[in-house]
Amino acid sequence: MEKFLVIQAARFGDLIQAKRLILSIKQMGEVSLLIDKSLYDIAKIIYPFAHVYGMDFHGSPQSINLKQFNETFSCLKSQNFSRIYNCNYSRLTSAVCRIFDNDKLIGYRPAHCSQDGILRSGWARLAFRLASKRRWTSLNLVDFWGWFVDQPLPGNTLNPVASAGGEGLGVVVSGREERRSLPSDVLAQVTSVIFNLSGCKYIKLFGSNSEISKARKIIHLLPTKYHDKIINLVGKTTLLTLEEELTSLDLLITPDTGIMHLAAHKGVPVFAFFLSSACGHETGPYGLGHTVFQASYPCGPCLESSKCHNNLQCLTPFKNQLLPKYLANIYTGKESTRQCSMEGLQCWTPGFDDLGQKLVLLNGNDPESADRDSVRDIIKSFAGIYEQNFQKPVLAHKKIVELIEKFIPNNEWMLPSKRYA
Amino acid sequence: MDKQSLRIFVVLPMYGGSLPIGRYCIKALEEMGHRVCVFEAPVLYNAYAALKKLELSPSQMAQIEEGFLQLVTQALLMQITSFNPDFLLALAQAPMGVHILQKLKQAKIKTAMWFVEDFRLFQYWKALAPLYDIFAVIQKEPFITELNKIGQNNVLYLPLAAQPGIHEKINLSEKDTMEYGSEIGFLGAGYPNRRLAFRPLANKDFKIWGSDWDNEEILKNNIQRNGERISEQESVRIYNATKININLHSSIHTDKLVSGGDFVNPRTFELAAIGAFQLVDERQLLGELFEKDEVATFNSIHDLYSKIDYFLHHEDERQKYIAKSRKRILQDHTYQKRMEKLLEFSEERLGKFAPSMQDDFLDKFDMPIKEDIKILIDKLYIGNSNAFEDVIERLRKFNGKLNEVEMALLFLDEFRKQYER
Repeated sequence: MEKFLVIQAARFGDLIQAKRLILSIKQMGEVSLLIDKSLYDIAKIIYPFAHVYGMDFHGSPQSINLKQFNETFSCLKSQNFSRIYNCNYSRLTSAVCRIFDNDKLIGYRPAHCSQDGILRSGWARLAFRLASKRRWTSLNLVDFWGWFVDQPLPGNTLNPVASAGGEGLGVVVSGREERRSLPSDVLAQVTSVIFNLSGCKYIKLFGSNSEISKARKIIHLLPTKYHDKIINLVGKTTLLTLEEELTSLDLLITPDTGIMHLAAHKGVPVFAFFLSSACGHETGPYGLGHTVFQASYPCGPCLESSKCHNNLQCLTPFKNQLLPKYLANIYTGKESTRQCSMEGLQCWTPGFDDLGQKLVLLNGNDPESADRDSVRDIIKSFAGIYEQNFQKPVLAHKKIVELIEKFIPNNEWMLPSKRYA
Repeated sequence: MDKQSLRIFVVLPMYGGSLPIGRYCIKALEEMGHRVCVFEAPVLYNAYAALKKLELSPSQMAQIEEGFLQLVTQALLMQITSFNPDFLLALAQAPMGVHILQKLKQAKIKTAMWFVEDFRLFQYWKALAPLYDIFAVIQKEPFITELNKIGQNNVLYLPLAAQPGIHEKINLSEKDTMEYGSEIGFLGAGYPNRRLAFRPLANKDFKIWGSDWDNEEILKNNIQRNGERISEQESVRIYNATKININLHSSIHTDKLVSGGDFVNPRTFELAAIGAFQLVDERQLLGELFEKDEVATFNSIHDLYSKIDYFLHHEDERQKYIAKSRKRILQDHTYQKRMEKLLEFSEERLGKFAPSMQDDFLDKFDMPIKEDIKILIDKLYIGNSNAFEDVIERLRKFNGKLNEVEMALLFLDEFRKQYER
């Protein structure tokens, strides 16, 4: 049986988002995972069939145990993997990849030169170009990694269709980046509206140690009649207990977080709020039955590392007094009337095509839809997908030239597109 | 079209499957008596490959790549300008970007692209197609309509072909038969559909030639020379030496091994011209190129397996197909026929060619020197052209010592230039 290695050195959410790749490889042979050692236990739960190797990818140099490193590398080298899928544009994983034959590496390869550096596959280079125009992009990260193999499993077979489990409403207090999360007062209001309509038994609050005070504030802002129904798990869960606590929730309200991806993996319905640098097309919950609320302004999705010069305008729709009514309409399924659209807010639900997940607009305006569809066709052509819908309206030639020059620049077809560069 | 000698500029791509097709076009055009000037992009690709060997980081190499393509474009434009063609033919992936096509349009040079690729996988045509005067394709609908929609109305369906003289029956030595011969053979890249389709044939007398068969365990004993690339000359030997050549069109999809796609690959024509027996998968456009009794087809993988068994035991049947398909090729499917069609279509759509001034300078000379110059023209191989400029141009390129007549003509040219100054 052939052996394959997946290197995924990023965070918890990324490990779950590599699911399409990992399950597709499972169809071809034996799977090993090389991940950050903090994710070892949860990886064994999510991918029970895989051999898991943990390494210190996020520790400090002092924490590195060279003896352990050597043992892990010796073991990896002796496996004689047919292919190694390196998911990360990272100098760390690139260094690790030096123990393998370069032509067995898929995704990212180390450049064998004194200047060092990382070579990208044609597919990875496309993803970098897509990142330069994110409003036109509709490639979910799950599908980006999934298409590291020639023919991944169909995207819609990956996660269960989400359905309520009867065990209450989950609320993720915040993501790692505060700017990508709803402020406490907005989150309290959203929670209150949904809890009131849902008839759920409990409200379970999730978050890390650093969010304990925010959780207290939210509890304080929630109507007192709900206080005895709140189970505050903020700062009290490990990844393993979190996995258990998510089981059978009715709904999870969350920003773009690893918990969101875990919920989607388990088929827990998600109400996901995307703003600032977060883009639902790229990292929205994967699978049918979820809802994505996307703040939509010309300045977004932005770079979280850059200062906001627009006075955080992407928060505006969430502060709109019509938000409770809007959310109630969406939650109760009245959204199709579109009577309650809100400026700057789009509501999406996942759908699927032959590339993978493609969000379907439920409510709001999407002026970029034609551009996004055209770019999706380009993405599909890079994935080797034939089928396309040729009935849709054609863009003006000037616009087509702009799209092609941006996403298929001359060097991608004048020179071999399969090269690593 | 009148038999007139045109100055035709052919732009080859730097790499890939359209490169040999470009060379066949050049040969065919020369045989038709046209004066052909070639942009030898593959030579420049060698320079690019050499640059890649320098110790440069990927980001430095990206800058070099950009500069390299600019240089290529600049050289191409210079060569076109100095040749001043009546007609320019570019093959798919030829280094002709938007910028250079706009310049050629301004210069009123008639241009054509023969896009010998699957339009679904190489989408850069969307930006370039309207900038060519003629766009020849190997697929029909919906491609033709898509081209019309973006403003390209001069679309010509021009299927691939064979090049007699290269693709022809050869007598094999005993050694060649030993080396290249087998009951069943396949020459081509190891696409996913082919891997799966061929595995049940692993225990037969089945030789697989060509590249991209790495990590193929089941067929490893069938794969010849570790999957190294096969030259054109050797491919003719392989086809000749094989009793049944499988011709399965490539696909990255494995859910349907016989994809039933539209265009017909070059191998179909080449095998027929060589006088080799082939089993080709049914294609949508095959029926209008060959009659049913001219080429043996299969419509499923099980059909392939049973027809292999059948034809292995019916040599007389194989010979009938061989004779009929070869006759059809020579009659209808040569590159010369294709080039004739392309030039006819171009004249029909763009108006009659007005070849550059053809001063039949032979008339200025008396016998016996006239006879010597005729011999020289034949030697220089400039087709039907009797233009003084063409003779001089070829003479200048000629390596080696000139004879008295040749020297006299060069002297005449220099004399004329000096006088005209």
